Amino acid sequence: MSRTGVEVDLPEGLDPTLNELFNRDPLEWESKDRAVVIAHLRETREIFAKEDKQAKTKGKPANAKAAIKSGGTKNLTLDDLGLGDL
Amino acid sequence: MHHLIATDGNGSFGSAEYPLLQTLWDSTSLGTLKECPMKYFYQVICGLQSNKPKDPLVFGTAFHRAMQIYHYRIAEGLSHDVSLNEALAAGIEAYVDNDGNLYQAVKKERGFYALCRAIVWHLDHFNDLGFKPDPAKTVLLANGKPAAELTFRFHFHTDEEGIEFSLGGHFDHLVEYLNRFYVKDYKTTASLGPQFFDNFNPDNQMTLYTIGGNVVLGKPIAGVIIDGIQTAVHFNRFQRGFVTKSKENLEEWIEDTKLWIETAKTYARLGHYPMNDKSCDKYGGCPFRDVCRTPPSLRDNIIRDHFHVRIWDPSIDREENPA
Repeated sequence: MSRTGVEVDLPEGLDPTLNELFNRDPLEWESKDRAVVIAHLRETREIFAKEDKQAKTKGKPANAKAAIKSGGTKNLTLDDLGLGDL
Repeated sequence: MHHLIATDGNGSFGSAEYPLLQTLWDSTSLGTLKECPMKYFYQVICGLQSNKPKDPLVFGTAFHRAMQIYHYRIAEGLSHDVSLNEALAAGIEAYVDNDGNLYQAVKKERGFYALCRAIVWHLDHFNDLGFKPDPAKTVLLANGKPAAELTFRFHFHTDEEGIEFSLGGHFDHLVEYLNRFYVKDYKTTASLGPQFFDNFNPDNQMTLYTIGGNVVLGKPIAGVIIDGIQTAVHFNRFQRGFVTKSKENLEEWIEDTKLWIETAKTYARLGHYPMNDKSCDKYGGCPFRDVCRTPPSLRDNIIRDHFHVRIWDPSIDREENPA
């Protein structure tokens, strides 16, 4: 819960440091805080792009849920994406 | 219902003879008139806005603000990373409720995390993480400012009574792409594909923007680029579509628009805005549907309980630090 009483809806399994950051009032974030968030989102984008490409070659686009959950800290498999039975 | 009228101080109304006649039209007000005259009356003339959560509006406003600041900072010579950081700050600052607190979205795909992700992924996607600038290059205006969230206005028509009408609005972005000029517009959506882009041709906003782009640049533009941004719970995807209009199509729209404005004048003269009950289910359902299904004598109570006044005035500038 942020200072303003607004809860930020976050992906499950987010890194604790990021969790703590998002649960501070984002309106008071400084440049370095935003840089951390940008770096995290870049990681998730990279993972999503990779998984999406892999999944597309199997004929089904990734739903990306696992990519976001991992926050870049976990090696994903098609099972994570619910595509293991393809 | 005339006691609800809120045109005083609204820069888009200015006719002494017809106080309810809008003389500066943008695509939102014109589109609303075409959709339903009664919706137009409530939304534009009375300035009524539903109290219900408005995820798409808040999300879209914040995303647009972030894009504007990014283009400004890049034009000032800042790097991609620094501009992105400032764009994110601007987007966050704009993602607030009426009390100035961080907005709490009903749907996760329009939530705060999704906003940050859409801003970062979009700008990184089209600028290759800063290694290769977007091929749709920002047009720089004569004053050196980038053409981002650019307010425009031009004389459109003088009617038989001598009343002057203008068209105007706000371009998200004016760009040069493969040696041709385009207006670029950001559209967030739940799903992307050919059907999504097909929805924009014909389209009131895209035609007005094409004409407006020609006037603002003083030379023909090739059309409108739509930056489609798919916002899902766990990801974003991006796709660009192009809307082009022939000269004949533009001329046809101009003649049609004169007639629509003449129709608005008739409504303003009569003080009566008929309900188009074939439009109530469009765009996820009209926010005034509950009002319209209530007997006219009881509508004030619903309006008082479920709406607030937020004037729609296209004459207000959106540029950063406008002169």
